[in-house]
Amino acid sequence: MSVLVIGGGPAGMAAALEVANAGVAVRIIDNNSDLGGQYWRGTATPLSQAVRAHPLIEVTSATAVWNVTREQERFVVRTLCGGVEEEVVAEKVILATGAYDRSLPFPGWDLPGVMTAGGAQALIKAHAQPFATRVVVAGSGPFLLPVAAALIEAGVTVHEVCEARSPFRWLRHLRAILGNPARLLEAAHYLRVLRSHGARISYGSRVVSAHGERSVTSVVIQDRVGTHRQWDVDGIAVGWGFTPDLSVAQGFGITPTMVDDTLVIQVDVNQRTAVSNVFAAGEVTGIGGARLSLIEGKIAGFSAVGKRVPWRLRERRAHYRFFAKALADVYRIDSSWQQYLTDDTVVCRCEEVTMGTICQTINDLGATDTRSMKLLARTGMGLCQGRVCGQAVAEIVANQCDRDVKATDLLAHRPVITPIALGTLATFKREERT
Amino acid sequence: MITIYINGEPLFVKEGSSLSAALLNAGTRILRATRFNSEPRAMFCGIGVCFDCVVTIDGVRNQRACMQLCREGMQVELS
Repeated sequence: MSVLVIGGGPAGMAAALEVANAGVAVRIIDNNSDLGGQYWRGTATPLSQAVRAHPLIEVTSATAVWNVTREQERFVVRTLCGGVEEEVVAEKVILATGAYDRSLPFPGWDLPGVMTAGGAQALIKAHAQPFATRVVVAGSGPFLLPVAAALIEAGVTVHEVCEARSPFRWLRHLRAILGNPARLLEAAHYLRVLRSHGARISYGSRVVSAHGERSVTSVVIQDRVGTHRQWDVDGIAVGWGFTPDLSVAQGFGITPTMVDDTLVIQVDVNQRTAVSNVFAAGEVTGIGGARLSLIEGKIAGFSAVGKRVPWRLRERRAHYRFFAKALADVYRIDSSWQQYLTDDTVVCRCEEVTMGTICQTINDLGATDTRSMKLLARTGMGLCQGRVCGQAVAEIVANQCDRDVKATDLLAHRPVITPIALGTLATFKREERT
Repeated sequence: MITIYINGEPLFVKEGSSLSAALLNAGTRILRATRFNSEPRAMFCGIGVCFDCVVTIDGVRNQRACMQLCREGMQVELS
């Protein structure tokens, strides 16, 4: 039996270790230069050390999956590393491809100096490198606090943290807070760091626009009551929570489903997906944090080798999923961000498609779904293949057409998962396998 | 420290640094101009998803600066 784990973050590593501890050889393919995913970017942990030390685990870093096909009872996975292709065959696959920042456009978001909250934190975690010197952190979600605190500890001036939702939304989820007191303490710690620094924290507030010539120099914020204020900045970190990276999963024939406004890979309690011999664990099954990812990774590992899953893991999984559901409700994003878009606002960054062009395409050319929008206006056709703009375009089109976003607005089958040069394709030689 | 080359000019960077982090450390944020409107772009997502940070490395186009680690003698072209 051969097991392949795609993704070397907490979930992937936890899964691989369980598989290897059961005596089964396993390979981890990860597209970063080192293990750890986003959460443990630039950090060696006991888990990553155990993974590297285990004789049955092979780690392939800086390698992306670009295509998947099925041959009889096995999956043929084509990978790409530094312009060289390699084919990997596996009978069982565990998908742990994680998540990335959810992005929503606003005027000036394409200016140099505007980054996602995840990106700002990745630079600090892996390279102790601040992305700017005077910033505002904005968006929604618990992630804004640790990012702001990390920036402050790295010497950055954080003027303000703008949380779009009201903290009173937590009153509907007291059970979740009481069941996870460590989270409350963690939040209190970040708030203390922010307060000592003199950073303002506001709720019901958001970035309305970013301004600057070739780089961001100021940001306009709208507060809870509608007043605008401006800060001089050279950076803005914007975070709207996370969205699962589903591109590899779709290559395996999995159709993601909408859960709490997010497209995820649906799994059963054993982390099985709808495709036999394919398991999924971690953020890709639903945003739930590192602790849940580790638990799901372990469960997937047990399931892949046919071992009984300990009850304690099942209990913890349910516990963390309950908390994740509460988080999703507290920080749910509504459609109000759309009212701040102007005709000039770039929505699809790769192809430079503006809001004006999108509206024109809907009104004049009759594009009422995202596929037509893509074919007529090129949204989602650039290098990122809709990863950044896809959700936003789907919501804009749905909103303009007075309907809700459907899963089909967000699904696109892309046989080429990551860009690959024709020359690389041409030089690939499939080895004869016995 | 190792030496990389930005548009032919040498730059001393920390070994193991990503190209985008090294450039940011050296004060360079703008990495390219967009294809249609020549708008300046810098790193956006920082984790290899958005492809806004693409530069040419050792003659190969469309390399994400945030994903590439600096190598001794690396030739980087910023457009």
